[in-house]
Amino acid sequence: MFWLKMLADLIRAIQKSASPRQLAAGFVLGFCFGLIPGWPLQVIIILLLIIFFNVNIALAMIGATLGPIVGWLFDPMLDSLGLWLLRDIAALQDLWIAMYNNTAAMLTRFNNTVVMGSSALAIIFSIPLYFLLSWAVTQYREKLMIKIRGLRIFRAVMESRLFSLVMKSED
Amino acid sequence: MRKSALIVLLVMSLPLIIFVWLNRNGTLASIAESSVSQMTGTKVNIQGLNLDIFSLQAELNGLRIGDPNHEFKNMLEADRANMKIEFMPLLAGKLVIEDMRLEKLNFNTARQDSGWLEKPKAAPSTPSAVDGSDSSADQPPTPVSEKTAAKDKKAEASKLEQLKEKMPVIDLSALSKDVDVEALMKPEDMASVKAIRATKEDSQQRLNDINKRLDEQTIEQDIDTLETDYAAFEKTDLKSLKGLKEGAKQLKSMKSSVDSIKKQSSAIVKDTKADLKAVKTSVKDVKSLTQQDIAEVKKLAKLGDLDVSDVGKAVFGAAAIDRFSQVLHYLKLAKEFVSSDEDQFENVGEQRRTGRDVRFSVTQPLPPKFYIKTAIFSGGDSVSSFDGRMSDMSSNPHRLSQPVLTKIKLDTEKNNWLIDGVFDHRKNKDEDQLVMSAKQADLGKISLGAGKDSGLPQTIIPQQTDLEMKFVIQGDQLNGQLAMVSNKVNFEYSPDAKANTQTKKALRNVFQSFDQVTLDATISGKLSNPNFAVRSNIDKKVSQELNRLLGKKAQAINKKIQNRVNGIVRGELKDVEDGVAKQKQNIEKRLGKRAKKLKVIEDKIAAKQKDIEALIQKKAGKKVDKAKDQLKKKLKF
Repeated sequence: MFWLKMLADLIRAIQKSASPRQLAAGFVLGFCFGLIPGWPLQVIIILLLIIFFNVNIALAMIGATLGPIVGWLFDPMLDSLGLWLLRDIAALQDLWIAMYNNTAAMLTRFNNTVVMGSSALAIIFSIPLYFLLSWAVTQYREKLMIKIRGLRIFRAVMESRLFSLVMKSED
Repeated sequence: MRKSALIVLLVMSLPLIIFVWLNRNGTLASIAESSVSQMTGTKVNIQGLNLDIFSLQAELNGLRIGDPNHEFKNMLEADRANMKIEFMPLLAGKLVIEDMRLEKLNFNTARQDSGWLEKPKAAPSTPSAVDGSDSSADQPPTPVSEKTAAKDKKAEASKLEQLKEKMPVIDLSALSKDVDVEALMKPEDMASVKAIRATKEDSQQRLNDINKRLDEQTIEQDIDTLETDYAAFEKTDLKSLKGLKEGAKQLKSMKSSVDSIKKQSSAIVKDTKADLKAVKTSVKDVKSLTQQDIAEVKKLAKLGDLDVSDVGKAVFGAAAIDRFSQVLHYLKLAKEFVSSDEDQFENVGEQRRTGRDVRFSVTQPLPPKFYIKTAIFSGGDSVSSFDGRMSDMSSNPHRLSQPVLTKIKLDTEKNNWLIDGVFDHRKNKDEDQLVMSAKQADLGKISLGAGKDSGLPQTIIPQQTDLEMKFVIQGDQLNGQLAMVSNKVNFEYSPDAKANTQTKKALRNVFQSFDQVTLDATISGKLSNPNFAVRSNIDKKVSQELNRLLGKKAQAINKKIQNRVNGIVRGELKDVEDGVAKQKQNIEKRLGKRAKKLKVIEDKIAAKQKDIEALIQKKAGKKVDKAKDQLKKKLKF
């Protein structure tokens, strides 16, 4: 029921109710939340951002589900990226040493290769992903939405009894 | 939407918060159990824990820490403990205790269940099985952290035990009777005899090689061929100038053959000399082994050197080593609490999404996973009580700027002991120091480990004693000092040890004459190979007395042993030297015969060369004169 409700929210949000930016920000934050393993400080901050900012929760949950899958699939690469950032870049060594000797900074678990690798990936890709998703939602609404609404399968889902019940309960 | 999401989140979190609240005591107890367990490598049990979440004060009941050496014993047990926990580190999963007070602390108490985390793996052979110590004693458990030194403790203790075996033995019974030197020595086991026999084989091999080389060489045949060639040359008629010139050429060729043979011969002479020199050097080396054999037989005869330094070691050595072993044991015990969790810091992520932790240099102190800033403890039983404090105890000393300090005051019925420990594990080389001291203590009976027939006392009863034992270990280097000043002392003999000889009676009188004993024992060097020395005020007097009573007899036995060993060695050596000399003579004879033959032929060739050169000059001169005459005649015409 929860997932069905989430799906209803998602469809409604994509169709019209949420702005493209809200949708993109929800997905990006959820994805980052899921990508970084464990509960380091940055994950808690992302969670608070999701809760306190007006981003789309449904897309955040989808992102949070996809994040760990991507993280698991690319684990060796994230590990290597993290190790490269922590060990091989001389210019960053002073920063790492300073962070290593700071209790608050250690809460980020920055010295773990996978946490560092996935955090770096999240920083690098979150902004382009945000703009790409915003643009994609706009494009969808302008060009694809009418065509998709006309699809039989879409109509079948929307007109199903169960879905109507869920939508009604939401209202 | 936002409001509903927050409500959902709160509703979802509420059971979790309630669960954590209700289980806060159990959670904290399990963090404490696992942290301390990681440090000690044994089971840690906490019966009850009550945490006041607002003041972060925790009260702990029934703390038991398993002994790594005995499965069913507790290394430490405390009835009650109060502690103040720091809040911020808890967020990072660290337990930092600002102040801890342990009451009714007890050591080595029995426990029903096993105190080990896991059963040790069966080892094929243990050091205890080798050194003959109690092999049935519990083996230390394999700790979670590989760093625990429990496994090495027995080996280190046995190193000190081995020192005890090296103590000089003064056996008066051996000195008072005739020593059967013949029965004590077996020539085939003597190092010098073994070396001589090896030299004999070596020299034989070298000489055989020389003979073989001489046999293989064609020098003798070459000389014979040269002789035949020269005889044939002498028969040829050399009249014409051309013939003479041809003859000179042949002689030159023979001369170069002679030179070649001489060269070959001198090479073999040189090698022979080098081989014989090597054999002589080996024989010389053997002589130094003779002294070793003499010392070995003296040891078997149980003859002390009656030296001043030996007396100190013989009387107090074993007891001092026992004390050092005990302090080392305490030191190791304390060290186990200062072990580091650093090795698990850079773990290798075997599973996905676990990663690896990278270490960086520590520039300022940070709390490790488990850290007790100050621990104050007290305990005892009906006969003794103690109280003390320990500071900066942590699971990772590398993260702290202070070494662990311990101060314990132990009061028994008769003595007051002060124990000071400094455990510095911040650098690569651990440095640990433990000092135990007592003033005006009554130390009770101390076994000296002397044999029944040694004539030396079996126990010492020092009273009004100032004692200080200091042990410092830095990496593998150790430095131990034991200083004792006893103002009232008694020496005791076992009832079985009877003063049935004049010597034993005299020695007893000497020991009874001491009222005061000062003793300095030091142990230094590497833990794997320690040096041990003992000095005391009784050394000189006892040594003098022993020398007075037994010096002559000991010297006579020493001389007997020396003569016998030297006799055996001399006999063996003569055998080798005779054999070498004989072989050398044979080789020289062979070489001499060749040289003589070669000299004869060389002289003949030289003389003939001279003759032919003269004839050539003469013939050539006549021919020139004839040509001149002919030229003159032609010019006149």
